[in-house]
Amino acid sequence: MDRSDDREPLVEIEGLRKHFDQSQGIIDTVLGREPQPVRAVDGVSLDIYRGDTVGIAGESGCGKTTLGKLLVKLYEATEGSIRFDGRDITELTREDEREFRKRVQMIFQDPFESLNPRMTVYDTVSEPLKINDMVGGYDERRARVKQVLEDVGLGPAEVYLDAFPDELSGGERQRVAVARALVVDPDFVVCDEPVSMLDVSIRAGVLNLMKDLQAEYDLTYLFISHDLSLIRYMCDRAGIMYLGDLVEQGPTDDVIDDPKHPYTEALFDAVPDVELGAERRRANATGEVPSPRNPPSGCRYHPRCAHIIPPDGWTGSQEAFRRAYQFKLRLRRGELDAEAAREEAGEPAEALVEQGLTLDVPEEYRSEAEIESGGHRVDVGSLDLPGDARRALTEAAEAVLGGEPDAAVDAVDDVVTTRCETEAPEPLPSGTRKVACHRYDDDRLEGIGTDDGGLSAATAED
Amino acid sequence: MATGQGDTETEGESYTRRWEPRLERMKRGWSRYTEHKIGVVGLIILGIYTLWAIAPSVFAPHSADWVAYLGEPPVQSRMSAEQVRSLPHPPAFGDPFFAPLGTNANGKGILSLVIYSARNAMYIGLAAGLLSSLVGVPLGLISGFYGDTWIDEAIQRFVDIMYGLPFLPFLIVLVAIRGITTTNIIIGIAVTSWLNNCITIRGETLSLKERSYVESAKVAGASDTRIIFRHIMPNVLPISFVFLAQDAAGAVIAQASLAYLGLADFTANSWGIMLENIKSQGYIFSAWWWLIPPGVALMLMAASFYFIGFSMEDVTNPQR
Repeated sequence: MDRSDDREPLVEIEGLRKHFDQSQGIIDTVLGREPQPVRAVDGVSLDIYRGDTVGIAGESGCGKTTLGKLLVKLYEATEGSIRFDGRDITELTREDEREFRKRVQMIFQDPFESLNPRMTVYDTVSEPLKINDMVGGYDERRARVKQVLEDVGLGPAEVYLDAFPDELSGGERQRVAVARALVVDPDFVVCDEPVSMLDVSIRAGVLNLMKDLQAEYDLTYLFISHDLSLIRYMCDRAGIMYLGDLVEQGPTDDVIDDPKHPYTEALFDAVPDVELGAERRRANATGEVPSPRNPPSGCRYHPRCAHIIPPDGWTGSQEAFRRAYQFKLRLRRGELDAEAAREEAGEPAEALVEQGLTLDVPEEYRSEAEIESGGHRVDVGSLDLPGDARRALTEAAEAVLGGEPDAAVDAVDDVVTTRCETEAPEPLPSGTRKVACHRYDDDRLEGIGTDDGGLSAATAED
Repeated sequence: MATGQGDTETEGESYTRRWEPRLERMKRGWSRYTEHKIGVVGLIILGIYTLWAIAPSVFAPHSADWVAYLGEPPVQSRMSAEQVRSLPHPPAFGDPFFAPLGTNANGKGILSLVIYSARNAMYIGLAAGLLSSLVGVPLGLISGFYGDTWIDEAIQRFVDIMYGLPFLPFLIVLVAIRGITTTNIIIGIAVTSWLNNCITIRGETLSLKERSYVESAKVAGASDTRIIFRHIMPNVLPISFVFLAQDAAGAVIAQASLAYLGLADFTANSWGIMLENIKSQGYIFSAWWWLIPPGVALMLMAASFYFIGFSMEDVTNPQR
């Protein structure tokens, strides 16, 4: 938490990118299609300090596991660098790589998959020793394996040495996997959801074991998990990942108690509360996670963001801008249903605007008119929408009804603009942590709170 | 067992302890094998054939050159016209000669021929089966492990071309060039039968290499060779055993059909050649004692290979 700045980082990640599937089929080449790789990890920068436990949280598919595998060199990075103890791991010689393999290990998610069913516990745990020629003879190796097995709570080790994985329980298997990682006495261990496949009843045991081992073996952990309570329990520092990028990183308690990035906020809202009677809050985010093949421009979270920033000179409310922006997105994706609007009573253009201004969010964030209509209409009058914006929306709606979707996009393009869409936010320091969000740009530049737009939550920092 | 004692222990003791768990595992494997009676039956049949192959003279009533009425060579006299007319002779037990399964049209004892042919069948079955496994399994492993690279592509295109090769015309050309010998037949069978092996092993390898135990071996620094042979191969062995059995049985039957077509070495003793002879000499409907024994022997050998493959699948597959 309060780490002094003179500490050397053990792992330094800079601008790391990993894009998958850049090869193209012959049909794509013939048709001249641009290759669209999956941007699994897209521009991550992160420092990991010796002795720390860093947690990476995010939805499934956000690139957490890919990041972990990049760190242990299971994948080659497309771009960017990873320095381990000062050396770039993408440019290791054979000798250096051997050294690296001894110092960095990984614990995998599924202990039913990560142990070879044809190898005994002894064979599995002693393999890294054999490969790296670390311990001389058979007897020494056996002694070392026994010692590590006892350290991970599998004692007496004699019972386990000749057992096959299918004779062990899930918890025992994961302990064997931990033992395999620790047998070479590594410095840095990447744990990819180490307990998510285990019974809830034995999770705490394995986690506590890992905490104890951290002290004993002097380890630095990178914990990958979608479970925020686990991150809070285990980690000193936490990073929140969204679509291949870290949106927020800092001391765990700060990040969890006072999330700054709108995505972090939404992520924590989405966690069900165990407390009885506590009202279930849901994430105030619109729509689904976009495809990592074609992530949104600018800030990747902006199409879903509840705090999207209106342009300078926007006289209406921030909520009105968020709705107007949703209208623009629907227009671009061609999601506005002109037929339904024509069937409505009254002016079709008006109905289309009302349809386009709705938010695809859980009920507690909807307006009354939306709830009444089942999420298909809003009451434009009750929104604090500036006059010119309203005119532009109506004009666009008419263009859609007239069958000119391009003209419709042009009509709103100038009025409904946001820098969230055009500029990618840099992860800049804000207080104790780094946040990649434009709402804190001014914070840093001028040391004052953010401007208008209903962002009261964001100004809580000072 | 402490680290310090390692040096003082003699080499021998260390080895005994090291091998102890392996012996234990082999015992466990055997008990799992015998769980299926069918595997034991296959092993017994194959055991009998092996004994026949090693020492046919112990089991056969006569040598392969024995001729009815005249006895063992060298023979000076010739058969009388009446004796020749009595051939093929039905089973006889001492009067006028001893031939428990009768004789063929040339007066040779069927039982002796069946027993003397076991060597040939075993040789062809095991050689063709092993040869096709030795080619198919490593190529399948390599092709699968380097899936989606030029290595995989090259091997798979080669397999495709080989699939286009028709078995019989290929074999006819092969024996026309190199002569009708058992070795050539084995080569011909092996060349065409490793393909299925290769493709199946490749598919299995493709899925196995994505398992996280392969990834964790990589993290530990294991080389490709080590991953292929230590982590992936043991997991594809059950399938390759099934293929070995299948190829062995297939080869024995293929040799019989080739013999039937006249494409096998006639000087060799073979069940297939016995069947070919009964056909060409026109006794199929009259000499059952000549027709049935080689057919049954052939069928039992193919069955025993299948049975053993079936049981081996259980031994090498500890998941369950």
